[in-house]
Amino acid sequence: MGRKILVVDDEPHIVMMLEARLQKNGFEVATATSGAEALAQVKKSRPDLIVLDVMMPPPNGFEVCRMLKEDPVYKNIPVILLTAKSTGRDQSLGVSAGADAYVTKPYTPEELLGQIRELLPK
Amino acid sequence: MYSSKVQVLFIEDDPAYADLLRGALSADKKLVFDIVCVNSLKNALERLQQHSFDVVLADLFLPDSRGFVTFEEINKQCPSLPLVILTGVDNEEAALKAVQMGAQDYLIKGQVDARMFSRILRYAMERKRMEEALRESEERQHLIIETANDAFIGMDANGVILDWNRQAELIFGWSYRDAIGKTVADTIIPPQHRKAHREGLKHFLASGEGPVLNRRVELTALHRDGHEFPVVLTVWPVHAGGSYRFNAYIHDITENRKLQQMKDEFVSTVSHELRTPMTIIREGVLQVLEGLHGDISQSQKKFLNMTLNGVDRLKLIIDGLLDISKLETGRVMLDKEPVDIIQLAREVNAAFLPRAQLKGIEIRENYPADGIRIYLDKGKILQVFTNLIDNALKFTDRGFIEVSIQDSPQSVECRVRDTGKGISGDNLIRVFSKFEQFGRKVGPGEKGTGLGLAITKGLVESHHGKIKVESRQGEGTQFIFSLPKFAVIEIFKEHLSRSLKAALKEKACLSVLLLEIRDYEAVFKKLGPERTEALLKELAHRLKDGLRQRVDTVLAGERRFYACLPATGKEAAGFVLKRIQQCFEEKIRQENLSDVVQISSKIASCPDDGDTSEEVMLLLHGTRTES
Repeated sequence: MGRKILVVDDEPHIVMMLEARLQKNGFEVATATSGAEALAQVKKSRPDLIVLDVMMPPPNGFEVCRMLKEDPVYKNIPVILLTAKSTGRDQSLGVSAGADAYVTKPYTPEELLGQIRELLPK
Repeated sequence: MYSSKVQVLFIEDDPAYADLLRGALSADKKLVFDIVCVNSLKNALERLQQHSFDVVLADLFLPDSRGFVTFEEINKQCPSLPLVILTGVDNEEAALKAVQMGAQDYLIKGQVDARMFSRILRYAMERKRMEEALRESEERQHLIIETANDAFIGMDANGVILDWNRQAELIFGWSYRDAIGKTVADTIIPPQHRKAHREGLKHFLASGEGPVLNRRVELTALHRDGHEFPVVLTVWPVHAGGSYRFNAYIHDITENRKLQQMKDEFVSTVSHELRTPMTIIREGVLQVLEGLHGDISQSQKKFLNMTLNGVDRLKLIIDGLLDISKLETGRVMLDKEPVDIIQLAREVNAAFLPRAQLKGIEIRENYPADGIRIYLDKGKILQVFTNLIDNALKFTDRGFIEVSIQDSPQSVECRVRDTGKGISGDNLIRVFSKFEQFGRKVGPGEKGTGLGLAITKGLVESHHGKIKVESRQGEGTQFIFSLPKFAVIEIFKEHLSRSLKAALKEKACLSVLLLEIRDYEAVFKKLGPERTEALLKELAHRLKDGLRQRVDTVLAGERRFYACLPATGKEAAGFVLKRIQQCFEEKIRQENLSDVVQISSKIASCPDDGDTSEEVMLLLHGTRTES
């Protein structure tokens, strides 16, 4: 219990809903509504995992993900990219940005929670 | 023929001859001639202006005009009037010239029987009428071609331009005068396609076969100013006078392409934009439904469930629209591999079994005993079977659904037949259109998106397959689709041409390896089918292992192994090949087959050896491959 997840989306309603969903499932939740805020939150709250929206004003999810994965301090935090795009090109961009998983909107709770449980350090 | 009197203008300055003619014509039993005689060209021209005649009979030598000029003057004033010339023996030359210019006949005074006059005039009129009809028809044709909205180009067997209409001038920038006599290769075919064009022409003249003939083909054309643009073209050959001619209609589709692209972008953007609010609705409803935000009543639950169903259907529609948009623009990338299509069909049926049993419907299977392995994109064909069986199940209340697969040398035919209510003839032609859901009553929760069959058709066609539907109302429906069995070489070529395009775009190199078992028939005979297959499998496995990069592609079929190595130059490819050869030889040695199995190999690289799949394959196989 008490694992901390950082939720990042520029759509506040999505952040609210993810927060409710994750809290209900026993996670502690930190939130951010922009890429810059996300980077600050990572430093501040040291999450165990990040759920990151892709389409945000710069830096977007890919860029945030790449920055974290290039940072020796944060590179081991699992990142799940959350996006409305589902094309193969986007997935490969996500992979090349170092994301650990990719979930498309609209997500199902089972799908998202499954990925989170799989990626959280045991 | 001529119901009323035939009006004859006779231009003759010899009154005796005029009388002779009058007498001869009045004796005619079939026709009544009304004859007007004049004795000079001036009078003749005046008469022609005042009165309409059916035929003119004229002496070329008149007091006021001499020889050929007489004909010219009359013809100028009345070009469509048939004219027969009367002349003296010594004026034959001028008369002959007049005939060449369009006079119907010439008669030499004193040599013609007066009784023949009526027949000569009748024939002259009839001939002129036919000439006029022909000229009008030609003019009409010319006008059709000239005013057509498409460019029209006629060319001879060497591609030399013979016809070039107004629209051709407009879309290609070459005037009629500049285009005529040049070849299409030198004017409107972009340099990179010229070789293929010349070979296509040669091939057609030698064999009579032309894959681009008699159908609509989309190509790139070249404007005189050097810019290239997309066109749709129909060329058809005409065999006349012992040689071939080609005619072509060409339509500039630059605008269509732009619109298509805008539509695709629009669909794509809208679909993506819709996903975010959809996520909010779905997750919000779901959380309330799950009681995450407090208890809810049964009735509230019921209505939230309905909302959820609606949102999920919306998602299916949006996904379907995106699929369609990708299929329509040919942006679907197929990931082909050898798959046992029977196994695949079995998997789909098994997944539907619970639903079918619930409805009391039997799923029958009718397959040949052996598996059928063909190259296809497993996920995509799985979707085809799923859509068809799902559809059958939706519209069948009793009876069975039968899935059958039949093998033939060139293709595999699959059928999904149901004993449902069937589709009426009017609706049958529209089943593959988007958003067509005819008044077929379905149960609650079984509403589709109206896109399933359109997507199914697109998926089959992206495999170069065909799909059709047969149905009888009250008896059931069957969908039949066939997938062509491409040889490995064709699959590889398709893959190669895609990889080459990508390589050229990124200005990267690319290499291709071919490893081939020599004397395959003998090997097969000696080892038997099972051992041969095991060996081939192991070699294919080793080839895959021998290639290190993730992006390298391997295709194996019968005696040949192909590998495509992006971003690899010829020299580097040589090292890779050497390593693989060693792996192969090691395996062959292990099996004690060194005397039986020998491997030959080849490398071809882009850009060193060419930059089209034809050129690369040509080098690999030594001969041109059949496409």
